Amino acid sequence: MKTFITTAVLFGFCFYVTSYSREHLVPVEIAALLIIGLLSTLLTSIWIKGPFLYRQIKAAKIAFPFTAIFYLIGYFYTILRVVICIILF
Amino acid sequence: MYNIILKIISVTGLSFLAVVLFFIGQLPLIEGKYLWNKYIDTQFAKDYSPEKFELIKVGMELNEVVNIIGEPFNKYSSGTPTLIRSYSYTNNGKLQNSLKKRPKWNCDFAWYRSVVHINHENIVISIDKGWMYN
Repeated sequence: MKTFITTAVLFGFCFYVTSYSREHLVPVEIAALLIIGLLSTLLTSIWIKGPFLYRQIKAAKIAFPFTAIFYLIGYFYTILRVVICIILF
Repeated sequence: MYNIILKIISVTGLSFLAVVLFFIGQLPLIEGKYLWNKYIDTQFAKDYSPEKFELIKVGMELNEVVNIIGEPFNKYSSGTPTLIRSYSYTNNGKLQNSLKKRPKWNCDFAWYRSVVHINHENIVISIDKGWMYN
């Protein structure tokens, strides 16, 4: 349950920052996050032992939050780069 | 052997997807609104503010407009027989203009457009405002 809530919060935050910066990009970004999340789930499930469905569920719990985290790292990298830009130049 | 190949594919694929996500995360900010200050790349005319611009209504006289938001950045005429003039109160590129040295990376964000169209009788006939993602 905790993982589900964390994932929902992270995806909600991704949705918020995208809609704030460029509202018309939201459908594309959310679709990209879901597709990459599913691909990551498949790739992560290789490391987990057990029946197929159990492996996929466990992998999804790891892959989806990390999908949102890497997206947010990319977003805040640009934000911080501008702060550094203002300080340095 | 089969398991090792699968694990190599997994690590390579996950690393690739992490890099892709990192770049996708940067997409909304390419010419998008900056999170902490949405007017970071909008140059304002001397007495202009977005709040004051909201007070401008169609039908106002030019001198009322100037009293509220001051003189514009640019004045341009459309060249039509009705002699419509446009008064532009904002401009793009505040961030880049404020930096002494141009950085190698992108520092171009969305800017807020605020234009007042005035006819030959010096009356506001339309107001054009909104975000420009360029």
